[in-house]
Amino acid sequence: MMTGVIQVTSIHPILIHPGIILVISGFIAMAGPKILRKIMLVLGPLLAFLSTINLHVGMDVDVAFVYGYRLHYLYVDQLSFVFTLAFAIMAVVGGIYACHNENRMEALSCLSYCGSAIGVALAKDWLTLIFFWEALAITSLFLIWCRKTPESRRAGFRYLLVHMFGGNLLLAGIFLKVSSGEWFITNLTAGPHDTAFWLILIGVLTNTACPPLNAWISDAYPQGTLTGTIFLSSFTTKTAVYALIRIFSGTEILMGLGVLMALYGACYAVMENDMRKLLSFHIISQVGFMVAGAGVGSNMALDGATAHAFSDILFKSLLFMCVSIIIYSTGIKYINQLGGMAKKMPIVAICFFIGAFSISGVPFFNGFISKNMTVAASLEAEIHEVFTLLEVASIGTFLSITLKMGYFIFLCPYDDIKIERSAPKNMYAGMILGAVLCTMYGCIPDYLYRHLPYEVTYAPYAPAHVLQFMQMVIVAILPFMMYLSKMEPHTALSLDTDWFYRKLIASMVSGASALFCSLCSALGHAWELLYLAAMGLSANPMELLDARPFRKRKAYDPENYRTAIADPMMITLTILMVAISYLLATIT
Amino acid sequence: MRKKTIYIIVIAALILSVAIEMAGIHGHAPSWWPFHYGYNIFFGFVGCWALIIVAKMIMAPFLQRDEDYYDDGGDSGD
Repeated sequence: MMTGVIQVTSIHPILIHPGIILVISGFIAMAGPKILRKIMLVLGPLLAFLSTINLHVGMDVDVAFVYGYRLHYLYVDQLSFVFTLAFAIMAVVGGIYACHNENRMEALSCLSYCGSAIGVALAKDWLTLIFFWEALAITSLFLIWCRKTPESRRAGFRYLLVHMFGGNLLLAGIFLKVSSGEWFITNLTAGPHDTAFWLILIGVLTNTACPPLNAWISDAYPQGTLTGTIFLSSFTTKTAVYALIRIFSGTEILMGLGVLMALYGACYAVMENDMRKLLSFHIISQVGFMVAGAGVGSNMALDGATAHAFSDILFKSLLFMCVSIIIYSTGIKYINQLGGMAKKMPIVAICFFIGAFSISGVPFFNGFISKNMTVAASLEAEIHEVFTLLEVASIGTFLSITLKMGYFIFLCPYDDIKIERSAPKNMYAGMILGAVLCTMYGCIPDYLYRHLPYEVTYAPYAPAHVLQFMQMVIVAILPFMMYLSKMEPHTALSLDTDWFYRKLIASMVSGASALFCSLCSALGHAWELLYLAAMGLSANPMELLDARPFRKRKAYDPENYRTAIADPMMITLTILMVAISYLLATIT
Repeated sequence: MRKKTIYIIVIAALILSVAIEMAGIHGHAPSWWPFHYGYNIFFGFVGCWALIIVAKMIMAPFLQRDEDYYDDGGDSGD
């Protein structure tokens, strides 16, 4: 952390908040002309980054709220600083990559999205957290809708529903916490494990894409805009990891969930053919390592989870940047329709393999210094099942990204791909910057380790670590080659947990709807018969009484039923006689 | 590069790595593993093989459907 780069003491505190700088930049980019938009997409994140490196541990800026409460919107400790730094760096990389965009809404959404993520990281109280948390969901939604296709619109609605569910659970949990007098965010692991604990935990886990609430990520992210997906891959899940480390570190259930996520994402990625969908499954897998680290809860595990979140933001966005350039240039999103891209797009190929080596944890790339720390922490804590299963997931990452994507997209011989249009230079600049950062942090781990919140000594480049890892990845090439024909992807849809709400619940709703429609129709039919009968009878009530003196006329006609004048006279006289008899009897 | 060449390079690299392990540089191995070396090669091979079998031969036949399964229609990319 640096101090003194910019003297900020004379500036209003709210303007030194990196997140608010990004949000303001977003509004300027949206309102301004095209050239200003391009400038703000780079300048805004740069100012936020400069503001971030000027933050110092212990800062706590607040603003008055209602009933004497104060919102602490700028609170810096080691943990919030390292996440803010990662978000700010990613905003710079993403801003450069996306600055050719002319869409006003997308410019606002991506900068506000980055700003909201930083807002979550710097929040000290529950209300500030939920405010930025919800802002994160809304701004990310527009990065999906900005693609303006029917698929993105539908996926966006599903994304919105899942995040409304998770956000409202979190809000309900926070409401319980605040109403019981707990204003500041604290670690809840020690208990009580009450309703608020579970509501907040499920709300946060929704954003980590933990099964069964995982399908929104592989459903919505591939439908985002090409540049928007770069941002989407970096912020929502990582803010959730930040929240888990801060609020739930040491909660044992997270170990199991983390391992499940790591393996789940790896298995689905092996099956997948759509490049962006495959990478989305790997977000689940990598976040699984972080969730497991948060669950282990030792200092080394928490540092490992934090470091891996930092690394993941860089290498995952790099991989998305590479595939987005391929999609932009060729119009192809499926792996099985590509091949031989190393010759056609060598710079993209180099950057892709840097990203692939990073996510696989190959030495000298940033995944190696973070992922192995998380895995080693589970071994240090003597949780051997977690260690073993995370190692398997780690091999799965190497298998599906470095081997499968690397081979079928870049290395396998295929010459029929046509480059339809060249990607803008700024996209290449953003991608190369991402690749440089992945390599830099991998080669000089201390650049990251010195920012980690729990001072742990870990030597990633111990010869045994390097050898152990190299053996595992090299030997993984053998099964891949043995099953090469099986590994070739084909276009298919892999059912995920969204099946429950896209098919099962939809079928239940349409089934119930059909049932009620049939019921209404049957009732309507019965009513119609009743109505017709009533119509017939009401047309001539005398029919009902069978008082039909003149049967030859069917329709009601008063002349048919006219009776002699003697009848009413007789009735009147009878009533009169009865009345008089009654009166006389009463008097006597 | 032919498959056979890749196999030869990979196996040569693994033999070299085992030689380094035998020279004294070896990492974690569980207690049931009878040797001081080779565990990561065994584990890496079995782990990768199991993932391929589980994902491609067990999960895929059960879980994969046509792309228009949800009737959302296809999409032609950007």
